[in-house]
Amino acid sequence: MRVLVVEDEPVLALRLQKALEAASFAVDVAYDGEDGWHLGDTEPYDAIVLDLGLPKIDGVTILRRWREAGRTMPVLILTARGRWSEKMAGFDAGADDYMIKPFELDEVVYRVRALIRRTSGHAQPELTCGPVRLDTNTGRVSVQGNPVQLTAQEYRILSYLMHHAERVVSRTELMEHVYDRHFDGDSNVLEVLLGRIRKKIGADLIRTVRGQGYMLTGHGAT
Amino acid sequence: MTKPATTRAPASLSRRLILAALVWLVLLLAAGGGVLAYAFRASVEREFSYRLDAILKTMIASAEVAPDGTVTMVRPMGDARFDRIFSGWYWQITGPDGRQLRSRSLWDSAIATTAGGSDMESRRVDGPNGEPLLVVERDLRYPGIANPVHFLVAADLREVSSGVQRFDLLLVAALGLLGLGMAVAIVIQVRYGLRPLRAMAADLDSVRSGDATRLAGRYPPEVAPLVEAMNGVLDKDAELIERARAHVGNLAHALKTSLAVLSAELQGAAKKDAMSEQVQIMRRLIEHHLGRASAMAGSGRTLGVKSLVQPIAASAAAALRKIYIERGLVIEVDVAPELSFRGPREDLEEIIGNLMENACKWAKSQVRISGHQDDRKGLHIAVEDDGPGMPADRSAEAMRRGQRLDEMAPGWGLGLAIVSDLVDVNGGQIVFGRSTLGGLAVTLTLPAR
Repeated sequence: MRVLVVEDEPVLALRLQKALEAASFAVDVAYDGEDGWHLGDTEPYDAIVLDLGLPKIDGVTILRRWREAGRTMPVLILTARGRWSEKMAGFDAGADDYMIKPFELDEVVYRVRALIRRTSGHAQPELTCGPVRLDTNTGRVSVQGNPVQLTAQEYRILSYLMHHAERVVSRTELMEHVYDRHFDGDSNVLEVLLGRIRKKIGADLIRTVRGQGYMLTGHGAT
Repeated sequence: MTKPATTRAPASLSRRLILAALVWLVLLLAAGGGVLAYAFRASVEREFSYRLDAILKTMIASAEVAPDGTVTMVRPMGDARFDRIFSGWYWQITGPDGRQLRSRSLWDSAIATTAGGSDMESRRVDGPNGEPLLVVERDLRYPGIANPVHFLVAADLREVSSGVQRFDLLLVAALGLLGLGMAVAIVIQVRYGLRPLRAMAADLDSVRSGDATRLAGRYPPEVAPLVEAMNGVLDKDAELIERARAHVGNLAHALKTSLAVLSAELQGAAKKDAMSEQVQIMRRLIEHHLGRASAMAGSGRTLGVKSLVQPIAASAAAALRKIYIERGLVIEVDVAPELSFRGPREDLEEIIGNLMENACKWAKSQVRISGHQDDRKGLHIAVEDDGPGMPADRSAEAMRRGQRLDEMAPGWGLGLAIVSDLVDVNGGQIVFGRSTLGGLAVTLTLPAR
């Protein structure tokens, strides 16, 4: 899962990045409105954390531009002003949730997870596909009740496939949502990681659809 | 209430103008009428004395004086009025020896004579019946006689004064009518002249009631500078408040971003809980005081502002549906689209947002905002939920001090304290009650103006 943080306060941006990375997200950071708008407009993020008070372009304007351009990723706005006039402006522009500064980092992570889950149509924090269960809040994965240990990268891949289970996810899409924009590694790494995941949860759960990509499915595996 | 009771407000401009003009009008009409009446009376009396003089001459021609001084009337005076007793018409001839010849009308009384000159003279005396007489008399000397012969004709002045009285009456009526007409004209003129001032008052009224933000009408050059200055003050006022609001907002933003950094830095620090509790207290204090300050600053600008209720309620409902999406709350907005609040939009957003958020926190499944307008009392807005409601004794406390209710649900008290402030500043009232949905009903009454 890939998240963009748009926050002009460098220390706060760093803390948000660390907290989200610790929760197995791939994180990009933008420090001003222009940069943030551009990234959100061009990269396929699963969620965006957007501060409203930004240099160059303010948050509400950025959000409105994204929505006008048809970008539908969930956006969590951070605002220092708790006034309702600002909240309403944010929601009217297309925000999905808001938090008032100062906030607990855990709360931000929790809300980002919830936003991503809701966007992919899952109401419960626990995702299930066949014998595999993934708790988005704790990051625990189990197969038929037995806990499975995954590395951060493995978890990201499995998490994305679990969120979009029963549908073909292309190699590019998977790459884009699992790595931040500074990653320029070999795409063969993905094959290797998928191989390891298959070993841990069972080989027939992740099918390779030739020429199209991968699909996580619970059917026919049990 | 700032003025002591002893000083009275100066009289209105139109009253001053009308009063001054009326005083002049009455004085001038009275003086004119007086002069006219005097001139008419004088002219009539002169005319009368000419007539008497003509009679006197006839009398002189009819009298014959013997060398011994005996006077005899050779021809009668002809006019029958001289023969009717006390008719008011008299003649009298005093011979050189003092013997008098008198008209029959005088009977046995006489009119006192004066030693006049040879010219005709007229004077007034009281007649034998006490009637006012105009007397024309003359002394005439005859050759060979030492003393002059005194001729006198007198007539009742009332013969003419009734005519004079009629004229006076007519004069008063005519002048009165003229005065009345001019007074009406003056009132009309003053009202017409001062109409731009009335228009300005109406314009100011609509600014005060929120229908306009500045004085829009066109004004004559005498008033235009005043209107321009007034508009300047209104603009400046709006600008100052806008700037103050921005400053407060910037301060809040800066402080809270720093607090957010502080709170983030606390992750994993020793004594994290104690310190982050302090950070939360600081956050709440900032939110509380800056929120209230900016609420106050915002509410100063009630001049010329009007906000529609429905879009704000709909916005708040949409936002809250997203915020509480997991609880699947049904949020119903039942507000007529033309309903409006006389005050700044931000205030209404704050009031409605906080009340609805509070309702959502407590609601089991349903929240409703409804509103209606009442010409006399103003705007009524009710926010209801199907939560547990509030005991009656807590509602007064809830209004007075937000903080203590904070224990019941986070953010509760603060929001309500701000709502209470804003409603207060805008001259409204809050009532807590039980909703037909089963939970709390908060009802606001905001003034129509």
